[in-house]
Amino acid sequence: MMALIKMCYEAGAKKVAVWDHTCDNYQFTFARSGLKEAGQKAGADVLSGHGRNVYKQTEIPKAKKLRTAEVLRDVLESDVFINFPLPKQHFATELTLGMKNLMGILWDMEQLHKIDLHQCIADINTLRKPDLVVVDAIRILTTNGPKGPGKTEDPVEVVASTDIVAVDAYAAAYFKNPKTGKPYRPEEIRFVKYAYDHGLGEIDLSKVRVKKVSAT
Amino acid sequence: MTRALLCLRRSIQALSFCFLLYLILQTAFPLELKIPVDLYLRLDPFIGIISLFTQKEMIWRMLPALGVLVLVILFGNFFCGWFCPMGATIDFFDRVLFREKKRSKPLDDRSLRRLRYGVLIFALTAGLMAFQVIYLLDPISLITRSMVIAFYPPAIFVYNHLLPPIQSLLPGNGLIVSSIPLPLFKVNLFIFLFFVAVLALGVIRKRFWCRYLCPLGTLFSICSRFRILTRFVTDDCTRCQKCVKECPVGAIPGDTPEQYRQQDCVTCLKCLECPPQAVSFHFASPQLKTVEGVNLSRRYVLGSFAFGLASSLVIKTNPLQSESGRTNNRLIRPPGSLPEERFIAACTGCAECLKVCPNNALQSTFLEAGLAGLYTPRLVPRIGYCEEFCNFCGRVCPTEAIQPITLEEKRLIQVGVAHINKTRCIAWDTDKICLVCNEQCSYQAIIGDDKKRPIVKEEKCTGCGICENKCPVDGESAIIVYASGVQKKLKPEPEAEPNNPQG
Repeated sequence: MMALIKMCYEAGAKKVAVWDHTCDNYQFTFARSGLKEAGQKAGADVLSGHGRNVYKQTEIPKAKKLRTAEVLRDVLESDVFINFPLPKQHFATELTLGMKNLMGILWDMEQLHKIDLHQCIADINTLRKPDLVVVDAIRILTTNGPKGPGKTEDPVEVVASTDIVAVDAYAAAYFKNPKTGKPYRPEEIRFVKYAYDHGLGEIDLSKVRVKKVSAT
Repeated sequence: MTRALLCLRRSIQALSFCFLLYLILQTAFPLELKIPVDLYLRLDPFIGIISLFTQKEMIWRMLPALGVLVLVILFGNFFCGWFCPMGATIDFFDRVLFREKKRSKPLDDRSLRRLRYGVLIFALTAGLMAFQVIYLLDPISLITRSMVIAFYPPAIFVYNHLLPPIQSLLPGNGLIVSSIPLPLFKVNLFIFLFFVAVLALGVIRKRFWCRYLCPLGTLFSICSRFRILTRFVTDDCTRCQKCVKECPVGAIPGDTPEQYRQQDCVTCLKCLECPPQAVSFHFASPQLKTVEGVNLSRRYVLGSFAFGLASSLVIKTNPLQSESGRTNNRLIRPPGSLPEERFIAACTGCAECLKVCPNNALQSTFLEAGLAGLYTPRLVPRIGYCEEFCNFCGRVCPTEAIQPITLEEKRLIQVGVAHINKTRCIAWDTDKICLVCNEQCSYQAIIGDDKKRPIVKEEKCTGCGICENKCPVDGESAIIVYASGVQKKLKPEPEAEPNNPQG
């Protein structure tokens, strides 16, 4: 993350704000994960979405089910919006990937479960296409997600793209589907499928140019 | 010189009050202050003595209180007049809002002055019977509780409402601050009204509370009988009655102003403002004699004793306090609490734990825990849940009613067990996918079955209540934590299995 913040500044950013909307108490999670310290060291403002005043009631015109929501104002108003997820196993939706990460830009995350979780995740993503998606797949959580503690694997990869559907389709293959025992195909994750139906990106990785670069 | 002394006293009172407020505000994450945030409560010998009585053992945290007691025995009661934040508040409101009513004839308060001794005897008796409601009258506990429960949430409310206009005034995104989640406390109105009532008593007499009711003041009174810092009046006294009128605790009798009741004096030094400059304070050998002392007859003492005894017995036989009637399984105590009976005996109801709880999960009870458990903390998961890596409530409890425990111990304490109401649960009742409880659970105590419906594993559930808190069902949650009676210790997880990328 620190490297990403540095790159933002190198690219001419005036100010970088790192937002996190945590499940647990933000003070504890920020301190335990070291997020606050790392972010501030790199010169960014590390902010938590625990107060309702940082959200704004917004219409989601292209949504199928979630028509209005309270969305983080910075996401709507900032010049550049980078989505920075960690892939994790998730019991309810199979996997937490880039698009599911964006649930955090909403004030009321729990409400989505009452409507239709997968469709809502796709709906949120129609609101603003992230200018860049960076998936930190250096270490991923494969069991007991999303909170853990569970088994981890180290693919040691960082996936970056402007196409969130393609990124999620790519990252899904890190995990094995317990039913088939084979890596997940993107269509098996319903929110990825729905997002593709919305025309948010390309689900078929054969149509995407995947360029692998070695960092070493 | 005199004026300077009086100014100094007033400044110290104001500082003492502000310091209490500061400590209360610091009673929050990350709790890294060098001085204990419950300092005032630890300095309170009344709490120290009663907790000694109720728990029948020394609480080492309360040791500083003994130091205060020794100082008071030596120098007389200086605490009430100089340092007590409750006294400072009462003094302030006596000046600005609740002015003493003018009387043609001075009030004969001899019977009233006896009252506080009755209260203290009642308190000590009840304390021996392990019944602590009298803590509610302790001034330090009272002001801490009132500040936390009645005044802190409104302050945050105002702050949150002022925040957007301030943010819009600043250019650009000058200030991005999330508003503070509004703390909510039950019974706040009762506590507010009681606090205001205590202040409003000043209409009858200045410092009415301090001189006729406060049990801490009474304790100090008894101890400062043999004070070595005493008041002297020279023959210059013209009996102008200024000091008699000015004395905030009525320690100077009207017909003999050259004498005073050394036990009642709070050393506020107001009587130094004497027109002929006849009054002075200096060190002298202690005197036994006093004027117009209270008439503590045997009848009165025994009466107070019997009243305390009978009240404790009546409360002890209240259905909620007795073994058979303890059926309130929604009464979840904070992790590390003493067993219920000892807990309500030890808890002072000071609300420090309510303030420090990062998720506003601890709420003060009204009658849910019976009469003896008034204003004790309970976990209300629908309002807030118990944070996994937090043991703050035990760290701030002055009487160790909530034991100080390590994080590792805390994570293995089962305060309750979650139960799913399958008729209301989204996953069980409809075919929608939810499992918020599963993803929120920090202890992996909720697993999903093959149809993605939640099931609670009792042996892992700590009763932290995050599932009940986050359950998206409207109103009452579809998953509810019930107290497990006595807090249990769970078996620790076996060491994490080595990572197996193939598995």
